[in-house]
Order: sequence, then structure tokens, then C-alpha cells
Amino acid sequence: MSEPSNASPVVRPVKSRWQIGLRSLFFLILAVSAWLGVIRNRAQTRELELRLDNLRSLSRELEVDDPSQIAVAKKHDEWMSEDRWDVYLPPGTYRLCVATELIPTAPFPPVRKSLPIASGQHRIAVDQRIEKETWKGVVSWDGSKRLTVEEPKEFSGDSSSTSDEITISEQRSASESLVLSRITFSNSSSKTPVGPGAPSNGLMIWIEPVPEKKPAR
Amino acid sequence: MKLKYKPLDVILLLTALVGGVFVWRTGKEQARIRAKIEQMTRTTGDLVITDPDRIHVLALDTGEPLHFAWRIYLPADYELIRRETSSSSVTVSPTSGGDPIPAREVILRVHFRESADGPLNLYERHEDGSHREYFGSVSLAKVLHGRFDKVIVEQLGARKAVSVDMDEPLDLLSLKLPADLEAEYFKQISAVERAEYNPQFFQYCFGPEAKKPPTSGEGEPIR
Repeated sequence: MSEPSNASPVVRPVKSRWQIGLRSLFFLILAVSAWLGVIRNRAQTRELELRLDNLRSLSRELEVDDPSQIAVAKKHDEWMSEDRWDVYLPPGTYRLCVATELIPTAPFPPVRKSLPIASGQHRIAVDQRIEKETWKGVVSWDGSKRLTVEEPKEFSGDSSSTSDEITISEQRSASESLVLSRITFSNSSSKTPVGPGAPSNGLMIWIEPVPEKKPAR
Repeated sequence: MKLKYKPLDVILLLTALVGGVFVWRTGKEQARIRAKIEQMTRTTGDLVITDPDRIHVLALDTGEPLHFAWRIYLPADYELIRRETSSSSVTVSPTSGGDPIPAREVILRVHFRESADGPLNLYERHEDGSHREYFGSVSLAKVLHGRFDKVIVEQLGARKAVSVDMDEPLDLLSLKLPADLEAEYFKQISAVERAEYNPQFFQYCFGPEAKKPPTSGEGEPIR
């Protein structure tokens, strides 16, 4: 004979609408922590970017984020009429061009002198000097003088205007020419005064890609 | 078939996973920026602004004698006004025109070079421009010829970054001849020039005059 069971039936606790299980609670904490991390990281990144922008203009360091593009940084001036740039040229063939007449003209004035410049990183320097009765524009890279242009002292006039194409640092397409400097000279005593923007004497330096010659069939 | 995970769990798990990916990506971006900052502070030094209402100064290593550069933090509305020792003061900050001037960091530079056979050449780079001029007499240039490294230099912020109150003098640089060069210089100049001689042959000073005699010639070290 079986004993009558006096055990009451199991009453499952009624779950509140907003009650969640331990596992859900764990996932909730995980999700909230992850997104709090994202918010904190983004705020910190914004602060760091502001600091970086400030440092970028102070340090003028060359930044190569995309090695397939040209990178350039204009260094701080340490003397009058002495300009320095750090330049990175991606693999390819390039030449550095110097013009002294018809500046500025669009897009480029006639090349007076040019030399091939290898791909890779270079420190390019442009110095202007007056030596006795001669004005000299000297272009050097990697510590060696490469190109010199000479004119009579009067060539540089009595005032100059510099248009800094690169003010701090940037990256540009390797298929386009990179203008480093565009200096125009003017002479207040000139009999034929030139208007602003009109072509004049000066010193313009740029690097341009040289199309590779296709082998003859 | 009963689902092992409830829809809520799946949603929360996915949210956490997506968040995790974003944390990883933003962390990676941060690491990239931090590496750049580290690279750049190698050339500009690390200037920590402890009080945004004080001027902060850090001298930069130029690697050349008689070539000086500073990284300077200027608080908002502070105009960098040159204090000349012999003439009236000259404003070398961009003039505000009544507009508020934001806080900013600048690089200032003073650079001496020898000329062929004349006086020294002096180049100064200010906040918003630069100029070059002849400096001193031919006698001074002769005395210093090849001996720039003998000059006694007092440069603010050279040992470590310092901060200066906005109403205090901002004396960045003072150059003095050592005794042996001074004696040599005296032999070359007239009695009148000797009478007018200032032992500190070059000073690069900004801001107001000192209210009291300087005690150490240095600003307050930044902690």
C-alpha cells in the first residue's frame, strides 16, 4: 500500500517581467563595460589628436601613413632665405626642377635646370645667397649641393614674396607634381612694374614624376 | 527545438562583441597616435602644461653654439612683448585688435652667425615672423670669431621646463663674454665704448620689468 503523498506540488516562482537570469546579467555587464570602454577610448583619442595637431605644427616631422603617396614636411626656418623640407618619394622615377623666370605661371614655368631624384626619403635644402655681384639659388639634398642657378645681384630685386605650398606636413598623390617653393622677386625701381600675380623673376622648386619609357616593340 | 540562449542573451552578447571590436580598434588608433606623439616630442621636447594661466618654457637643443630655440606655451590673452634694454618695447605677438587671443604654443629662435668680415649676423624667429640684422660691432665679431662656444649663456628652460607667471618678466636669454674674451674686447674698443659696455652683450627678454631683483634667474620648475 502506498503511502499517500503529502508533499505539496512544486510552485515555480513567478518571474517578474524585468527579472533576468545570471547569464543575462553577465552579458549585460560585459556589453556595458565594452561600450564604456569605447566611449572612454574615443574621448582619449580626441584629446590625443588635439595634442598631435599641436605637436605636428611644432615638430614638423615627416609622417608617412601611406607609403604609396608622397609625404612632405616643411622644417622650421633657422635663417632667412634658407628652406628645408623632409620628403618621402614612393617607388617611381622623379626629377627635381628649378625655374627662375615667368613665376608664377600656371601650371608650371619653363624649367631652367632639373636633376633626377631617387625615390625614398630626402632632406631637401634651398638657400639663396648674395655673393659679391651675384645672386645664387642653391638646391641641395641629403647634404650635397646638386643644382645651382646664378644671376646678377639685381635679379633678386629689393623685395620678395614667398608662397609656402607646404606649411606643415602632408601626403599627396605620387602622380602629381609637388611644389616645394614659389618665390617671386620684385623691384620697386623697375620701369615696368608688374601687377600682383603677373609672371616675374623668382625661384620655384618642384618635384615631378617622370613617366617611365615603354620598351620599343 | 528549444533555443539554448534566450534572444536577450544573444543581443547582449552581440552588443558586447561589437563593443569589444570597437575597443580594440580605438585602442589601436590610440597606440598609433601615441607613437606619433612620442616621435614628435623627441624633437620638440615634452612640455606638460601644469597651469594653463602660466607661461611654460622649454629650451630645445639646436646642437649649435649661439643658436637657441624654445618651445613656449602662452596662456590666452597673453601678448608676447619684447622688452628692449635700450629702446622702447616692441610687440612681437600678432596684434589681437581687441579680439581674445587663444592659448597657444610657439617656437622662438635666436641664431647668430659670423659674416665674411663684418659684424655678426643675428636671426630672430618670433611668433609670427622673422628678421635678420647685423648685431654688435666688428670688434665683438672678431673677439668671438671661432669661439662661440666660450660665451657664457643663461637660457631659460635649458635644464628643464619652467613656468613663469604672466605678470613676471620672461627673460629667455642672456649672453655674456667670459673674462678673457672681455679683456681682449676691451683692448679693441674705445674708452667711450668701454663706458657704455654692458657685460650682457645680448638679452632676449619679454614681458614687464622685474618687480624685485631676481633671486635665481630661473622660472619655477614644473613638477
